[in-house]
Amino acid sequence: MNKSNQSITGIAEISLRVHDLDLMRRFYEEVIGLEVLREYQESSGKAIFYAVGAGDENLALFEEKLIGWFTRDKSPQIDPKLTTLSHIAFSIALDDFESEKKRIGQLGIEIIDSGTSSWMHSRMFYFFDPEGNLIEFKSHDESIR
Amino acid sequence: MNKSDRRVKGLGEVSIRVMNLDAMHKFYEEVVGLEVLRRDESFVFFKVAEGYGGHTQNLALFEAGERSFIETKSPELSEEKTTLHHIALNISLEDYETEKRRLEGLGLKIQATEHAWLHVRSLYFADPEGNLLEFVCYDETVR
Repeated sequence: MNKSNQSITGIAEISLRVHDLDLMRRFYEEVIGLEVLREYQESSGKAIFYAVGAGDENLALFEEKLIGWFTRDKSPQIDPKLTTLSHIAFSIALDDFESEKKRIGQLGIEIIDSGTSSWMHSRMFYFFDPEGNLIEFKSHDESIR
Repeated sequence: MNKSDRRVKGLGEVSIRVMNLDAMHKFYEEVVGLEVLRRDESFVFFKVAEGYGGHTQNLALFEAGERSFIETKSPELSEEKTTLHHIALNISLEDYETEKRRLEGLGLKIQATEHAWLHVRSLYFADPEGNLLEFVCYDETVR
C-alpha cells in the first residue's frame, strides 16, 4: 500500500462524551455558534449532532451515560483529566481572528494561550469548554513564516 | 445564525493524547494511511485533507506527558473515561469494501453499520490505545 491512503478525504466528525449536556450544548451553540442538525434520544441518554461550517463536517455531543454497542468498553463517567483528547481546532477566517478573540474574551472565557505557528503558517488562540476540553480557533496566515 | 455569518468555517484539526507516540504514529500512518506533515520529539501532525482558507485539515498526536498550557490534564490517560467519543474520517463509497477487507486483513476487529438518517455506511474500529475511529461514506441507498 502507498503510505498515504488516498481513500481518506477528510475529517467527517468529532464526537465528545459529555457530563452535563445542557451546559455543553449552550456553549457549542452560543459560544462556538454551531447549528443543530439532529437530536437523538435513546433510553440511556441523549446525543446532539451539529453542522460545522458550511460543509459536511459534524461535531456531536454524547451524554457520558449513553453507551452504545460501539462504546461498550467506555465508562459511563468521563474524567477530563484522563482524556485522550488533546484539542479540537475550528477554522476561522483571518479577518475574523481578532474580533473572535475579543468576543470570546468578553464572554468571560479565559484565553489561555495564543500564538503563531511558522511551519503551519497560522495563528491561533486556545480556551477550554465548560468540561475542560481544549478548543482552538485557528486562521491560516501566509505572512507567518 | 445565517450560514454565511457563521464564524466557524470547519474542523481544522483534531488532536489526541497518546501514551506510545511511536506505535500510534505507525498506526495512523500505515493503517489509517495518513500523510505525515511533521514529526517532532513529542508530537506528530498528519494531513487529512485540504482545509479552509489555504490551511490543511490535520490530525495530530501528542505525547500525554507534553502538557504545555494544559497542566490541568493528567499525564495518565484512560480510554474508558476519555471525553473523546470517536473520530470519523470520510472515505468514498467505492473504497468501502476494499477498506473493510484491508482493515480486517490487518487483524483489526471491524464493526460495520449504517446510519439511515445520514445516508451513510460506516466501519468502526479502535486504535491501539482504545480510541474509536470511524471510516464513513455517503451512500444514497442507505435509507
